[in-house]
Amino acid sequence: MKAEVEVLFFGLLSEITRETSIRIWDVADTNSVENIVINRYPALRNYNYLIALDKQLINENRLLVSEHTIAFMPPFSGG
Amino acid sequence: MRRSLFIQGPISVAFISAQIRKHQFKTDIGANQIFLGQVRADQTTNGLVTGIEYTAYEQMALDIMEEIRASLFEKYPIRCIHVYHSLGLVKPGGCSLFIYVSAAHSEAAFFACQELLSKVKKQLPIWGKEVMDKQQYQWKVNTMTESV
Repeated sequence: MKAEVEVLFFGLLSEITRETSIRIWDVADTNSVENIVINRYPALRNYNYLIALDKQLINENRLLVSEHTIAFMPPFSGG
Repeated sequence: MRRSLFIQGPISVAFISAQIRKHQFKTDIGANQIFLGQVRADQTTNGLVTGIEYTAYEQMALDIMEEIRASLFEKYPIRCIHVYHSLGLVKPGGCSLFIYVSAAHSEAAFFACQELLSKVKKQLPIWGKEVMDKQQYQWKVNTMTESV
């Protein structure tokens, strides 16, 4: 079953995409989501970002099963 | 129960002093280590910083904060941990980060507070946008030593 994903953009990245969230359907894994996002917003290639799947940072491809939230986040700068 | 983490705008002296007062009723505490992060009016190549506007992935930050809290309680003999971070605009001089660690003895409180501060800056999904005079801005970049 292919998944439905809510994609969130934070900080500087939301200014690049001019969106804070988009929805993507029929995706099998997180790499597919990243490819779709980068194709839609090619300027993101120029920025460092972290990816969180359901609020957990990920460093490798993950399979998606149902509904998920995937966040694209710039390096953290709190404090 | 999930503890609160975010406060809209600057963290007031009244709030900080109320936290100190509360801990005076806990008589098993012998050391309170407090860190207050304050916004600087830095002069940068893009202008003078007139404030920092904070945003966060709040739900994720709350989850990670619980993990950090659990790891510190496991590592140090501490009694309590409180972290408050601003959201929205904080002007220079305003407090944007309030960390409070209590323990029976000072050493545990001190080292736990140092580690907690480092983890808050490195691991919590929070972003600061430095707002400049002349209506410009730049995104804040955290430079941290790797020692802690």
